[in-house]
Amino acid sequence: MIGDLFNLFMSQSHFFLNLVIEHLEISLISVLLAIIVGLGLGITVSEYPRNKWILTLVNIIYTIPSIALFGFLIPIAGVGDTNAIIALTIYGLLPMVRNTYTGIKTIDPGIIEAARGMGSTDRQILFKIKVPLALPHIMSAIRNMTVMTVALTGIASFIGAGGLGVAIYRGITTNNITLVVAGSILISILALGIDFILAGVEKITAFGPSRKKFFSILKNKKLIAAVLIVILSAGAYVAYDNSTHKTIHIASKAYTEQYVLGHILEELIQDQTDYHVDLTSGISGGTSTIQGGLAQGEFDMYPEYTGVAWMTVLSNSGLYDESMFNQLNNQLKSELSETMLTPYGFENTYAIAVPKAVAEKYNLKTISDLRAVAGQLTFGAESDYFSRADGFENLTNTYGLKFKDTMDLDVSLKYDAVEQGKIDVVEVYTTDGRLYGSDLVILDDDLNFFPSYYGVTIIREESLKEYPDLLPVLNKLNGKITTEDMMRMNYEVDVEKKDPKDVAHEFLVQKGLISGR
Amino acid sequence: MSDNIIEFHNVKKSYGDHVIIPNLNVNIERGDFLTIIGSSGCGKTTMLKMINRLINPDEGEILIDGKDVSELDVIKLRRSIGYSIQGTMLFPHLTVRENISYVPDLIAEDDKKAFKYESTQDNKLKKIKKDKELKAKEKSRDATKEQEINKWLDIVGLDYSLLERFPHELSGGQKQRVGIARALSASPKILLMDEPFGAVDEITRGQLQQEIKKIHEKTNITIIFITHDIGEALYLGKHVIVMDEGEINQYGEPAEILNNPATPFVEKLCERTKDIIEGKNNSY
Repeated sequence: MIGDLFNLFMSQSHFFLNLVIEHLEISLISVLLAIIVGLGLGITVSEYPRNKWILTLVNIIYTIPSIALFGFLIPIAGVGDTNAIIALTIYGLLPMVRNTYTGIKTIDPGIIEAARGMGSTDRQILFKIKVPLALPHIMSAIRNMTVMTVALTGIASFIGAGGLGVAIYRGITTNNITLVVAGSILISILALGIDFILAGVEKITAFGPSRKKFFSILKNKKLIAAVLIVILSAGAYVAYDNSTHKTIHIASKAYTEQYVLGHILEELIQDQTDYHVDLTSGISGGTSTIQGGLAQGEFDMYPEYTGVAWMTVLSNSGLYDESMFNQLNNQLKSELSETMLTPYGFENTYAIAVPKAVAEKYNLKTISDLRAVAGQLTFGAESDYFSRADGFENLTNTYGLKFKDTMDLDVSLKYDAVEQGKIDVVEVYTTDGRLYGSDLVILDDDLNFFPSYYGVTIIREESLKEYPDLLPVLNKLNGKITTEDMMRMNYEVDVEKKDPKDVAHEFLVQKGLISGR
Repeated sequence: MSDNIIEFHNVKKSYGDHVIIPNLNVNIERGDFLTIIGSSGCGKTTMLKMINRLINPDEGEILIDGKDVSELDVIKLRRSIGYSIQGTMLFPHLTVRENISYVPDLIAEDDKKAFKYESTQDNKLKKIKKDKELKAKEKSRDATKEQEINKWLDIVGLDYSLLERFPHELSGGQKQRVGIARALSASPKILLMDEPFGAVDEITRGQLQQEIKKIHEKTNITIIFITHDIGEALYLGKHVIVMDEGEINQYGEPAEILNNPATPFVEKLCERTKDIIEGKNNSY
């Protein structure tokens, strides 16, 4: 395990370094905002008692589970870093507001009366007496809140923000424990490191001689100006860098195949055009989250499946088959200003599978064969499947199935659950790499229930106009990825634990789509 | 007619239905050391806080140098009056130096702001000149501030080596001395003291009493000193006010209070300490 970790860090140091930087960016911006807003609110609450409702409000917000808060903000802030920063800032408010309030309220009233009696204005009492005296409380809030925020940023990848959560999430969704551990360890190291630094700052700001030195440094206007200039110019550089190169934003969902497809698109565009590419992979909110991002212009394109576009994106009823491709594409154009390119070639449809032992025991060959025995079997699928229009409910209605029990499982845990005998019937993808190594038998869809799901790029029409070099490059993928290819690539990631990025690269080189290096 | 620095005219103060001070009329002479004695809740602290407007009267007026305090700028008024309260209430996050120069620093800060505001009204050339002036002014102020701080340390009998210490690094007596120096540092003409030595031991208290007496003689400042200790009141005061339930029972010199108590309350108050004080007076 430790050896695996070491190899992972060595071979992908660049990947992890980027994640660490992103992680720090998101959490530190949130911390800074929470400090500024929290201090302001804390002071307002303690100076004007009629504003006490603010304290109650931040208290209530604090009780919202973080995942839910990220979710609530999607309609307002979309997906990505902005949403994460807003949510993390809101979370950080409670400790800041409460401690600032407590810090100010617990000051001996005699001290404040002395200051008033000596002729301090309200402002002077606040900034010369109250805030400095509340500083130990405030510092400990900053410390706790920062550590909390660094840890919580790990969840932000749920809504498409960057940071080390990306590694953890990718690890979970591709069944790669080493990656999960690596991401978690780095988050712990960051949190502990920052806690250590802040403990030092806390000591400095405690009453004593070093505090004086600290504040005299803060009073040095030239030094502060210099620091501000460095920060601003760094920010300006980043902004300049982003504006001079046009950036294509690609999204992908949170399962192996989508990671690989995301990287294929990313590398192909990077290799064949001058555009920058920003890939946000592993968006766990799935289709609806990504579609929201497309509508707001946060993403330009993502790999999708024809059947999903028909049912989930456009909410059409009725069975989709590939003869309706043009109709589907016209509808996407007119309703969403999005367009499908030519399919990649592979089909990733759903199928119902059972372990070989179960198939033999009940003599199962088709899904209809399940009808007689479903009452003794447990059905497992990812939670998405139970809510989707073409999902569980329609399947059971069509085939007249009544299972003994159902179980919600993460995509990557399904095979483990089958192996452990926790589920007997499972919904699978036809390109799933793990089908290779398993003893699962696919049951024939004798009533033609499952629609057709061809892999295809969906892109905003506006993006095609804005980036004219894009279309010819993307068209190079037309029909290039067979079901066999896709299954093999999934197998390499899921079972052989290869990095999706490397798998994508090897594929592009092997097909001659980019020059190998 | 004597020279009054503070005058109370028909002052009334109540909290809800509870009347603290029904009708107060007092004249305080310039340069007096006035001690006010009474049991707790008798209205002596309320009387004191009305002078620097921490409490405003319901009726009547209070004059300082003939001017109604309610018409004065409250911030300027308070800065011109020294204020020292029980437990000293030094600012724990500031050093001895910063505590002592608290009020002078506030005044300097406001002066600077006013000066800067003034200079924004001027043209460029004038501005440059004024900026230079401001810098020179600050420099000389810093120098005088240093001298002033040392002067007050000498007066209250504190060693210069304590300047960079924080309050929690001082003994009880040292804290009281810093508290007095802080109250005096802007050279006020009036010093209000509300049981300033209430929380120190007997020996330190004796030293501090001698110290404040000396300071009064040296500076000729008007001191209004609240205590609940009749011995302290009689020892320190040039004049003594005995208060009960918001009314003045007697206003006179210590000997007069002691020898001719005006009311049974005053008599009762003096009885226990009479012998001790007489003994002290004899030794003078």
